[in-house]
Amino acid sequence: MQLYIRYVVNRLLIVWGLILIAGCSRWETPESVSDTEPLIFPDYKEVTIPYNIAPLNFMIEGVGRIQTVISLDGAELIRVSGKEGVIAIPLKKWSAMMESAQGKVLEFEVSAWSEENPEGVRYAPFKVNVADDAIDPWVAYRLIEPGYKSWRQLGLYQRNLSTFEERAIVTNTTDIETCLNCHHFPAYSAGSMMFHARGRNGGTILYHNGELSKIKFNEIGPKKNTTYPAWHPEGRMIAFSSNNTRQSFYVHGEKPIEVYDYTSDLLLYDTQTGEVLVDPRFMTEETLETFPAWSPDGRTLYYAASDRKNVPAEVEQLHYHILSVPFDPSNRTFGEKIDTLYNAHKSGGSASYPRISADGRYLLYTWSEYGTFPVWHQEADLKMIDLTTGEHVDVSVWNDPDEADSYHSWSSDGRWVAIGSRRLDGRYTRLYFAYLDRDGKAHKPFLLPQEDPRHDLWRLKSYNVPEFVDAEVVLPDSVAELFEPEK
Amino acid sequence: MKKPFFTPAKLLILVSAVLFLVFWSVWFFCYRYYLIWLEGYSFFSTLPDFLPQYLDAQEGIPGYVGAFLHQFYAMPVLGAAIQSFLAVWPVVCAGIIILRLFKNPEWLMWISLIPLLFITHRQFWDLHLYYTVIADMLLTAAMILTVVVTALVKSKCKLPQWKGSLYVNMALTLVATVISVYFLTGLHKSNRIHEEKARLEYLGENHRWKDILEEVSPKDAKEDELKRAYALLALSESGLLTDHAFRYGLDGQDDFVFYENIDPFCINYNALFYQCLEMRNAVIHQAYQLGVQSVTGVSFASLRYLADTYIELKDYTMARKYVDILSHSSCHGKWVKERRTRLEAIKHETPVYEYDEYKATISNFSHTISSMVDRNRGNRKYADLLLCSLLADEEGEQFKQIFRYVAEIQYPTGDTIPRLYEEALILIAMVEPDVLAGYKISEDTRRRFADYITMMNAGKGTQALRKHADTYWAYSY
Repeated sequence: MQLYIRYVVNRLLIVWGLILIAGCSRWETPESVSDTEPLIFPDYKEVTIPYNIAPLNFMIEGVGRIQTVISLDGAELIRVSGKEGVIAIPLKKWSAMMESAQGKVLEFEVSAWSEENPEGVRYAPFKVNVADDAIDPWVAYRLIEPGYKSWRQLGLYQRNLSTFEERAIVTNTTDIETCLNCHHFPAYSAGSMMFHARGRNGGTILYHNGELSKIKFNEIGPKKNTTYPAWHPEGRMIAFSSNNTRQSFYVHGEKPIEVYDYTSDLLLYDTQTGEVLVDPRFMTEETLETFPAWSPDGRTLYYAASDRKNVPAEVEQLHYHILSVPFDPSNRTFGEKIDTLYNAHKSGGSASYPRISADGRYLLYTWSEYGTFPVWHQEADLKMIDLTTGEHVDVSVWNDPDEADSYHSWSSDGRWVAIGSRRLDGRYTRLYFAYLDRDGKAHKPFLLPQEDPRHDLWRLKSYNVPEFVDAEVVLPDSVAELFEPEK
Repeated sequence: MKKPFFTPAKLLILVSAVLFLVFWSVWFFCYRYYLIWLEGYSFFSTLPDFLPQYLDAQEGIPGYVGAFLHQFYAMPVLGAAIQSFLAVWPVVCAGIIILRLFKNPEWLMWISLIPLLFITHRQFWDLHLYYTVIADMLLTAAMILTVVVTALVKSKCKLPQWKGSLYVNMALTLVATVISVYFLTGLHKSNRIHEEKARLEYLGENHRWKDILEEVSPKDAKEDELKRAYALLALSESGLLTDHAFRYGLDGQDDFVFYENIDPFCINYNALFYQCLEMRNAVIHQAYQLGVQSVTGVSFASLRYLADTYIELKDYTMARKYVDILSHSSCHGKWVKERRTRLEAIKHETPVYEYDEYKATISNFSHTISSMVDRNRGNRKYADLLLCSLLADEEGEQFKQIFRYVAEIQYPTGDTIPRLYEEALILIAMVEPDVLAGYKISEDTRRRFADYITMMNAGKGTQALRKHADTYWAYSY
């Protein structure tokens, strides 16, 4: 009920704000014409978007009145005007237009009135490419204050990508000490979900086959905690890394935090039998194994691994490779041969978050100079390997040269990638989406559209672990009872 | 028949006015710094993310209303007025209800004071005004309902007349007022303590170091870790640390900063401490931790720290984010305007994040300060903090090495050495005479040390420690 009230109030506030912003309906003709494109925020110029994405509302800083004409194939389809430099495109008109825009190019012609241009200026139009591939309808993520030791309100949320609707999946509103993290879904299915709840009454919360349960991994099997999950696409097994993680806070420098593991191993959890399975090769003291990820057919497990170092003193010597090992789901065992797909000793740097595209062809990972937590590394960028050739594919257009681009996930059709990037300000992770066409060409990413484009500038939380899902996630109301501390 | 001067309605107005004045005086004169602190601890914004966060939190709509009101507490005159109004308004509502329900309500006017007792009993610790606002909302709703119903049903209950009702009402009003004031001032000793902490925080944020040292006596500092920390910071900022550190109870490096303590006063102190030391990553760290203590994970105090620190770092994007957010509150107009000017000045500058090859972390005081000393060898403040903490931890060998390292620049031959260092060096020289080579120890210190040793050798240890209290010799003994 409270969530519903929250949702309604949120909607009313936003609608009211947009009514105020878009209140003026007069259409005016600017006095001058500029041959430059407008400096819009977010930068949607030349991006490629799915045809089912929410309207690309944008703004120009320092502008009062603003107008835009959106055209397709030379025909003017939408006219929008706004105040405070904000363009808010009506959802219905946008959706109708996008139905016919698949595989085509939209043209935005913007006029703006400001102190510098009180009589108005019409800028050169900019283009937006509309792919004929849709994007998954929802994306789930965690919203959390960026960094440091504590948090207050955090929760797992989901966003309808065709509208501006954001809904809570589960939050920790009752207890400051409960941290929720590492959510995951089997094969993009909103019908099953897992996440960790840390705290006094914590555990791993599993919603599967319509049933809620809490698993205390530190009490079963090898009695190890679990961290990064990878739910097997067939739904039965979940691979976990078990990380003993710490962080250091630096006195100086633009990188204030370094996160590292003292130990990390890989485990397998069988959701049918409740067993925790281990392979001694992935439980060694000498090697740190982490970030498990399944191939779409569930026959290979990819992961990152590094030699163990004396951290934090030797944290800069932590260089993670990407490895893979065959997996047989019928007998729940790993094969003998372990392949190295990225050798950090040879190629330099350190690899994190290996994720495989839906067709099994591409392996996307985050590269950083060292370590295992690239979100605090400004140099962190996405890199991609074509598994059919072993060669790297150029995805530099997805990266920001100055700030961290780190967590990423593939859409269910492998055409879209969700990217967690700090390119806006270096501190708050924001959600970008990028297109990979059928020829393997990467296209310029775009910021998650917001009803008010200033929302991501003002929001005081980071988007964490974006994962696509095929529908809205609805957990039973009783889920919080599983991890709330006993009163 | 002549109407009495004190009609129930007049009595209600008079009592409400008197109560308001009494409570305003209590809040303003006894808790003005606490009111200022409440503003810093709270957060309100018209941004769309904020209301849903409150609705998600346990405090809900009452907390949201409370957050709105807390914005005005930065001005204690207004804060005291709001606190008083919130306590007295239910009295007015209850009084109106009684007036509307009864033909001759003189008998029952004292009932209107019951909500006052309920509110004042917990008003001080109602940090989000949750209970206070709920009480006010309920009484307001009840009052409106009563007014509407009695307007429709035009009959009132009549009670038997009683001549003594005026005196009973006045007596009970007086009793209720006294009890309410007691609830605010005398019931919980912690109220006073909280006000003292808030005052220290206010003085610290305004860099009124002299006032802090007047406020905190050496005895207080020895008994209370927060007072000790503020006193040591005030000494450090006043250049007096090497004269009075042990007098104010310095007992180890952990006295300078709080680790693993989530009390907002301690976190705020940490932020101030690091701000004074220009350790900006550490200020940002503490500012985030400070915000987390508030309902929505952010507070005005934390945002102001963040905005100012990023301005100092010349990080325009981040500084502007926080200034923009604060511009969506009701009482930061002047503050935001001033920051906007500073923002314009750094708009095209490159942020000044310092590189540190040693990767010093902020988990350990001596580690942190050592890195600062290493980077700023001529900085007296960093050196004094490190050297005093080493003396407090009785790390004589490290003291000797680091003193030699900084003395080359800070105390070239012939320069006067601070008293505490003279005392330490002369003591170490008893076993390592060479340690004094190159340093000039004052005649006064030599004479006092000779006196101390003579008394000790004569078996007058207690007298020696008393006579030479606050010296390094007494501390190390």
